[in-house]
Amino acid sequence: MMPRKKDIVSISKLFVAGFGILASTVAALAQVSPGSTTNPNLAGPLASTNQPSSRPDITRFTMDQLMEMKVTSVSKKPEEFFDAPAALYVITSEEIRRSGARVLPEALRLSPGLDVAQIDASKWAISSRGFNERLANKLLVMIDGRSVYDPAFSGLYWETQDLVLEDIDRIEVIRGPGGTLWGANAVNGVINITTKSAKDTQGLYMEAGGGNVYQGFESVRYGGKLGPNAYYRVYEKYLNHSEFFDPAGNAADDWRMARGGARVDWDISEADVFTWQGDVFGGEVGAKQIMPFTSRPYAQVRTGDAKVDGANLLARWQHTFAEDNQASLQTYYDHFNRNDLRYHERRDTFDLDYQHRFSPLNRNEIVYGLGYRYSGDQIGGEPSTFRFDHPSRGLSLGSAFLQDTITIVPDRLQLTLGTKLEHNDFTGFEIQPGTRLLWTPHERHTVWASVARAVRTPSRVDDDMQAHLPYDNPVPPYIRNPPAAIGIGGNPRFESETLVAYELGYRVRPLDRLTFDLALFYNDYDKLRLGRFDFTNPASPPQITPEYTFLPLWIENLMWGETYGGELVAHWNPTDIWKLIASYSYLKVQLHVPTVGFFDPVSPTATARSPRHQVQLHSLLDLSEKWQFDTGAYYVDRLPSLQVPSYIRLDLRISWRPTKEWELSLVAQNVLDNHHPEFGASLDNFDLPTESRRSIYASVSRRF
Amino acid sequence: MQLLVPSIEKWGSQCRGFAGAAVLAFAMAAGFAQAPTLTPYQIKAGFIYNFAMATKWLSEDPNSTAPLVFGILGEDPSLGEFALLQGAKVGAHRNLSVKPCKDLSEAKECHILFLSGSLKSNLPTLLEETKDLPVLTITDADVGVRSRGIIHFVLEKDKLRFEVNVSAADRAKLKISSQVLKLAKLRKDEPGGRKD
Repeated sequence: MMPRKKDIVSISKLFVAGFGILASTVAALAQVSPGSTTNPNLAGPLASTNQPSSRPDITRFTMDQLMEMKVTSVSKKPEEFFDAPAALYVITSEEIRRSGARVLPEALRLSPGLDVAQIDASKWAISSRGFNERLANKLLVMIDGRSVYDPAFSGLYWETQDLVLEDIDRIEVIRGPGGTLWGANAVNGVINITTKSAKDTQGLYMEAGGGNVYQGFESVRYGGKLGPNAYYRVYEKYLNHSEFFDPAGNAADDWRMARGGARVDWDISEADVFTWQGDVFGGEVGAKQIMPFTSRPYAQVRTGDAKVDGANLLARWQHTFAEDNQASLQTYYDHFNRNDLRYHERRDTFDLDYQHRFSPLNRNEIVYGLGYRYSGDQIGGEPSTFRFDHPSRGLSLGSAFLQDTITIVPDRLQLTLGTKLEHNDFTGFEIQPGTRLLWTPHERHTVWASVARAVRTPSRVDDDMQAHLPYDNPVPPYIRNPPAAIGIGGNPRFESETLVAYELGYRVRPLDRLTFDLALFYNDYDKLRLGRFDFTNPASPPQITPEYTFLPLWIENLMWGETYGGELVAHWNPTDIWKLIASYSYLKVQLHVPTVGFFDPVSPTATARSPRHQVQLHSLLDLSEKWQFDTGAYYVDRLPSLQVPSYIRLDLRISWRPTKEWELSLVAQNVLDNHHPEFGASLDNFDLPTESRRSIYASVSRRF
Repeated sequence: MQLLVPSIEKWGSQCRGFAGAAVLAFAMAAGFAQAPTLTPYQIKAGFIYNFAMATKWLSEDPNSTAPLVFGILGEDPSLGEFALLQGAKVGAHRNLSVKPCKDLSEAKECHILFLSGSLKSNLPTLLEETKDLPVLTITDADVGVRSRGIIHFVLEKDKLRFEVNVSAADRAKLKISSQVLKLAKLRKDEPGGRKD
């Protein structure tokens, strides 16, 4: 290991580079010449590029030289997403590869403003703009149009979404509400993961490697042609992840996951594209949990493996009637099984979705959609301490949305109005309207504003779960004397949590290779979940043993609050061989509880479960045609309510491509620390947290 | 939700016109001086210049000194890069003239015609209209065979490659030198992909 002092020097160098970015901006801003316009007619662009200063003489290149030139899409991403009227960040496949991330949730660390905390070796708490927990219930995640949000526990199991990162085309992270398009639970953010078309993954790709934390991993993918316009790929992946550090010893959180699947993309005609895809996975996820008992010693720590498996199948048909008139019909089936230490869940989901985009009038672009989803489950646990009123339940969700994007002034001002209407089995109809305004006063400046409503609909936990938790969880000896337990009772009258979000954004490109993206938000939440102790309510969760001091806790919509903050992201490509991405995010959470009554002391501490300050700096450097050196530095503020101190994480990657086919890379993550905690125990997570370790691994890949 | 993905891209699609100039001086000032790298359309311009020199318009007087007209059809700010070819020498007494075309009738008068991807679903019709004329049509939009000109650029990994439709070149009475053809992927289907 490198001595720590040296690392701090290297970090400080990185931050010096960061300040360099800021300084250069000041200089650059001065150069922005206002008033020039994007001219949609043909003569405009031809005329406007005649800047004599750096006009290259392209006639001097021979065909052979041209054939060898790399088409580097210089800052392609900020260009493409410069005009998005939302707080959007796109993680490219190149950024994923060069981050050294081996699993999907680790790749999400690349998104500014997202709060990614690893609880133990296999579990993550990921949220945007606050309210982080293992099953963060206000973040919606879609993989190729398939929702992976679990309606029983309202959140998702990141460890089972173990995609082949090489096959991910891009990850779009929208901070802020997306309910108008995506529906319920897209409250604080939406993550859209898009995998590559089979057309783009032709040939054989193999990868293998290992290290101290990622003990062994391999994946193989093969892509071929089924016909002149039909492409397929098949893949498999396996990962064996070692334990993290546990101050008490015996972390027992090692895990193994295997996955395989296939995808077909068929351009049936100029106007029709079919996609079929499916995956299967299975694995064992180690955990250490405090198990409550109804008799002495009331609780004990148990270790073991959760067994998980699942499969999904998706089909999509996209039809182009004409330019600006497209429709898509998609259906999927998703199945998963989870046998956790305390409970088991089996879920089968069927989804049908239709969308149509067209421009009926000049300057109007309308998108509407209709959807239906059925999700059936079987859930249960140890009956005395963890059960649901309904051991099996089928939930229906019907949805419709309509959105109109109106061009008020061409190339200058655009207004988007839309709403989603959904019907769910818990609360009936939910409406999520939103409006966005996009103003481009100049081709290098974009201003956007948005007001939107979003809801987090009840889950089965809110509605019909009955669970007992040892009160003093998780501090040994776990149970007070005399013992006490909290009995959490779901509430069939629990309503949706609501948000009205106000956002403002500004993007500026002072130089062709420098972009700033600022997003500010003010979120107004109401009817947030809060447990209320009610010792008199006869319908309280049943008291199990007289030895307990029993504290019945009812789930109700009693909390409200505000969050505000912002994210600033800078992209700078000083040269074609060097790319820098820096970001800062700020978050303040204020939650309020009623003054009269006894309430769950844990929920209001959500104010301090997400870091207030986060700073990131990424450097992607091509040392030569064959060598790459990449660095990622992260500062994450402390989490006071979980007693997690702030930390700085430094990741390094070096890769060597001796030929076009082979790539060898060496990755070191968390190099500054032997171990540090990133998240703590919380009521919604039975698993005891462990600490992230320094990780080193080597990998080799070959494409044919 | 796949349709929404293009919608997000659309948010930004009008905003591709920033490729260009001032960067270089800044990068050098920052101490990272290196050989200038070309934008994708500058590289295409380089190719087109080479195509212009390697092609003979058989229906035309070989000693003509009138400018060789390079027409551009479509609306994409990046097309402005082609202005770099204005006046470039393509023969002892012949220069290239770059001409943004307003409509099809102007486009038909050109020797070389670049049809931008922004023409979208109009591409097949436009190519159909020009297939019997001595016009070297060039395209780069990845939207199907009927939308490909005589020469069609494709991106392979991070390098630019091109296809030449030799049957279409014959029909247009163009002779493309073997120097170019040996670097190209050859196609033989009819121009516009349709049989007569």
